[in-house]
Amino acid sequence: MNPETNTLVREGVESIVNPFDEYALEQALALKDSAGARVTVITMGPPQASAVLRDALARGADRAFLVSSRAFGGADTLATSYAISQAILKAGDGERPDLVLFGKQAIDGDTAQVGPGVSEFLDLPLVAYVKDLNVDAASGSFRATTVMDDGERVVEGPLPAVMTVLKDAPAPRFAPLAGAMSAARARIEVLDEKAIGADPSKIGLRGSPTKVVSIFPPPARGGGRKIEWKGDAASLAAMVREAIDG
Amino acid sequence: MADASIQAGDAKCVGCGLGGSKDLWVFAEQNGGKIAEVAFELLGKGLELKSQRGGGCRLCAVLLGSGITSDMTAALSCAGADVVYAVDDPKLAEYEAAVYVDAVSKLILKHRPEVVLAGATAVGRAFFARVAARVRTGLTADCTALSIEEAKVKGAGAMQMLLHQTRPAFGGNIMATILTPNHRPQMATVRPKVFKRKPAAPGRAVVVKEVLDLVAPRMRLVKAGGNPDAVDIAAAEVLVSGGRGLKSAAAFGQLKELADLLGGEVSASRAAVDAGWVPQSRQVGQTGKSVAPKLYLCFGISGAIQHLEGIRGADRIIAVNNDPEAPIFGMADVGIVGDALEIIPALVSELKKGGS
Amino acid sequence: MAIETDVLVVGAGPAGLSAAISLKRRGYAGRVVVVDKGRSAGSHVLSGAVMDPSGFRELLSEEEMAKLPVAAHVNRESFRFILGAGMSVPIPWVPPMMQAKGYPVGSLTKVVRYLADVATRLGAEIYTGYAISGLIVENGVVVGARTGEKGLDPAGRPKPNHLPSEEIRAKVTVLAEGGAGILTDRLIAERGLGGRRPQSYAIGVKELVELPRPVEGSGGTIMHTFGYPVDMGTYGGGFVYHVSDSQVMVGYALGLDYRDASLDVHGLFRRFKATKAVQRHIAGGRAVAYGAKVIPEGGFYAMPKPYAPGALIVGDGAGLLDGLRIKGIHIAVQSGIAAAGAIASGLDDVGARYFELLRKTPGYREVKRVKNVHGGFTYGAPVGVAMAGFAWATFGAFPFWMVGRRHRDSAAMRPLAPGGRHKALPESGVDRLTDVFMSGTVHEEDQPCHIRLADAAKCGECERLFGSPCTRFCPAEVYRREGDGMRVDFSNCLHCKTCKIKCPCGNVDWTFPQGGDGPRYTRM
Repeated sequence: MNPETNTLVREGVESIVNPFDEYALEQALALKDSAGARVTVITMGPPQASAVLRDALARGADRAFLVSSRAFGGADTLATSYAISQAILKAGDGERPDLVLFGKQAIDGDTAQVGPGVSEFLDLPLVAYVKDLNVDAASGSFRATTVMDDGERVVEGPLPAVMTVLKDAPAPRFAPLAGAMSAARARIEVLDEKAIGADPSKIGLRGSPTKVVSIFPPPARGGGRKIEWKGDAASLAAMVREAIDG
Repeated sequence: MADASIQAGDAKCVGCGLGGSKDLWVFAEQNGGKIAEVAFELLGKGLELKSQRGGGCRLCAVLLGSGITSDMTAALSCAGADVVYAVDDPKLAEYEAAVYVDAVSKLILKHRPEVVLAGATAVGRAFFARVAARVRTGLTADCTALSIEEAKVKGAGAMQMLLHQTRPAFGGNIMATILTPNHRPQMATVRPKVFKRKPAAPGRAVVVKEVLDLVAPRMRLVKAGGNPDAVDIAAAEVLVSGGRGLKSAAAFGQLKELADLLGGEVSASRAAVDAGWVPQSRQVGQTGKSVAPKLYLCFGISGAIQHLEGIRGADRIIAVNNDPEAPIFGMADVGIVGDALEIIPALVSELKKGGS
Repeated sequence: MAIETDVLVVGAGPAGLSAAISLKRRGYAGRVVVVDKGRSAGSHVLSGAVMDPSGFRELLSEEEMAKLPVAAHVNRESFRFILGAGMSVPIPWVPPMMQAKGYPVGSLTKVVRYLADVATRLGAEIYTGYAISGLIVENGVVVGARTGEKGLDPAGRPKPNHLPSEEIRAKVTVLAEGGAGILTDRLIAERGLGGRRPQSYAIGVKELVELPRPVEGSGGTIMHTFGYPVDMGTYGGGFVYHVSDSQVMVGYALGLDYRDASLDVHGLFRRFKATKAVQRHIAGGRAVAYGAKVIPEGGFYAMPKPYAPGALIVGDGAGLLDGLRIKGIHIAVQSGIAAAGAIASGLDDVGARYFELLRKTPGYREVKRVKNVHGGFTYGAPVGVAMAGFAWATFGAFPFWMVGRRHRDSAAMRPLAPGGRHKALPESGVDRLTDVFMSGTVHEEDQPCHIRLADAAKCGECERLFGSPCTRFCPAEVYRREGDGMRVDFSNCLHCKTCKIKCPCGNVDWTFPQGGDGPRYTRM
């Protein structure tokens, strides 16, 4: 039986495809190939971000949604997680997907918080730092290899779930030109705050508990001291230790 | 839980209200009975923050696990904790995000701390972000600086003592300072080695054994164990890097020894990867990885611009190269002009002497 | 299953996009597909540029013309003959044919991005990130093209994410690859389309310099130079264009028919920048972008027949450059319009009809008029200048024969004289590798090297005779001598094709890296 009910959602936030998200998308597409999953791609951003969605469609994603509105501006990760969760529910007509994949982190904010935040709002278990993923559609379960600080762990569990995916996962596939052509014609639905039924107090600046109060450039980096090596291993060792512990 | 729209019942929405205690919490991550270094580093910082906060603020550690020993609580006490909240439950035997989230959220709802800090480790970053979402408060990840200072908050009357959270953004091109003015607790994660652990002092922490009705784990750990090739050099705090100047794969073996002594990882420039001395997963710069370790110690790397871009975020760069004009010296904090092949073994034996 | 289109345009530069825009504006109902190997529109497009607006005026509506993303127009121009690092003399009179007052001066990359928008809005389809690696020929007719593969490992084996080549079937293929285009050159060679002499090129390198403080009113100032740092027997010249009050394009072009094997292109550029004449314009500024591209300079006699059954050649690939003014953008645009005109009236004999329309364009007539300019320089700059003057003044009538060299650029190089003067001359600006970084060029590392040296033994010969000049004429530090052979750092490549043109042993086979790879020009 073809498990047509599997829906995967892949998340991205940026006008260039976040490199980590490419890997999440690849995982999703691999599951489409192996288990007949339906892949839906969602991104939150300005209108130009739809280019990212077309690229995903060109690679094989089935549906794409752009979550876009002025009202989302200034959102921190909590407000973003809320908005995206609402969008995911809307995209699934009120049903949660079987699997939601995120890249590990975005290269702009690089907080790695939206995946966990969405898992909370959707009330789905979270598996982070996935390198390798196998899904058994029939039993509705998964087996994932995760990379923790001390090495890899293999965990098994039931779907549905939310996962964040690493760049160690299978390399992303390229979009065929034919795919790019049909993606250029595809319809991308734009969801604003009303379409996703968002509570205005929970989105945008208003819905953001954290506020950036100042921005400043990092300390400039220039060359430091240059020393001739004369055999003084002791001071070098001390310098090294000080850099690590200091 | 119903899968319809997101509920925000007041019972869950601690974040919406101020009030609650002035306590400062540190999540003490542990694995197999060993408390992570970063927990002690955060407690050290916590002592500073506590004195900045003043008046009635207590520094508390949160410890989750199964079979928590008195050694563990004592260590936290000596690191500065006034209170240790210990949740000892077989469901916490193995890390599973859902259970950790449940435990910490319940504790937060019960005790209403003002600040909660955790290490930005693989464990910390994932489950902690979920706690913040559950409690509907703000979380700032990967802070490089923390302080408690007065701040004027729009709309509020008096000045408030707030946790100022500073972190890099846009790949390190800017630094941002962030506040969580209207939600509690103020949550932040900090990378290991950003703060220094304070020397242990006699402690008199009160250990509070919390008994919580936790959700059951739903995942099964099939296999745990390292995979040495699956190293993420981007996560390493110390990188010992080699380039074309090392001239052979054997020299990289020595680098590995050095890296082990320093608790770091071996990385390499593209030239070394091209030469086949190290796998591509260890390449820094260009299409390799961007790294921001505490220490980037490199040997025989000339510093092509693509490589330099990849190491720009390192806290400290110490470079060894034969060529005094090598571009790497333009970025290194300390540059040593000399033969890498001579210096590496000298450094290794020196470190072995002193004990690392 | 092949992709089908009516018109396939290879290359989304000014010529290709003009063809697409012109077709759609005429109401052409067929499908127009434009494919470019750059990551996005303009990524591989680079020029000075002071643009003769006549081409755009013909192509664009008034409203579109007004939105052309060029901030400055030429209001002050000068010519200088540079004698040395310190000394230069102004040429008090800018020859009338070279006057460019009022011309837009700015970034061609930005203009091309804008043209791509216009083309898309009119209904053309543009796909970037795909290299067209070969033409499909059936019964002597070009019936389409193939995309390059992606996802091959350095040994050429498919990786797990391998993307095979895709076929595009087209009723007519418009080759708009720019100078020294791989497919264009192959087609010209196979069909004997070459002109009376082989095409000759110059390599142009440039930087975008940001001034520390805007200099009010400086936008629109342009300067051209000749003389130092090359000698009278070498064809080279520099330019300084203020594209706004705070940004300056500074560049140098060197004729690739040069003889002196010791010449270093980037080195000449640094010397040029160090001259007082240039420093007056850029001192204190910071280079923020870099790039390089070849310019077809052979002129009228080097122009190929611009069509073959099923294929039309437009733009720089057809040698359409006014060698006196060194301007080709407007002619590229006109050729695109001519191609569109021919295609829109039907496909019978489209090549010949295109050529007829092309011959009638002002640009083509311009190129014909200055047909002996480049040839004149064979005899050194003073003769060249004099000849150019004559030719222009007589509307190309005199000299009426073909003047100058007939051989390829690669054959021009003389063996290195032993010893040789190595006077250290003042230089300014960053080193070549740093400049390469500023081009934004990126290549997937894990792929076959796209530059193949056919015969390693020849490189040994070349080292003896010429001292491996590729290490000097490549503006991107791709070539390096290593032990007994050459090391090719393909990931630095700017796709300029200088090596293919100038290697004295003809040893360089330049093929396509993965589509999307290469420079990422955004404001060049």
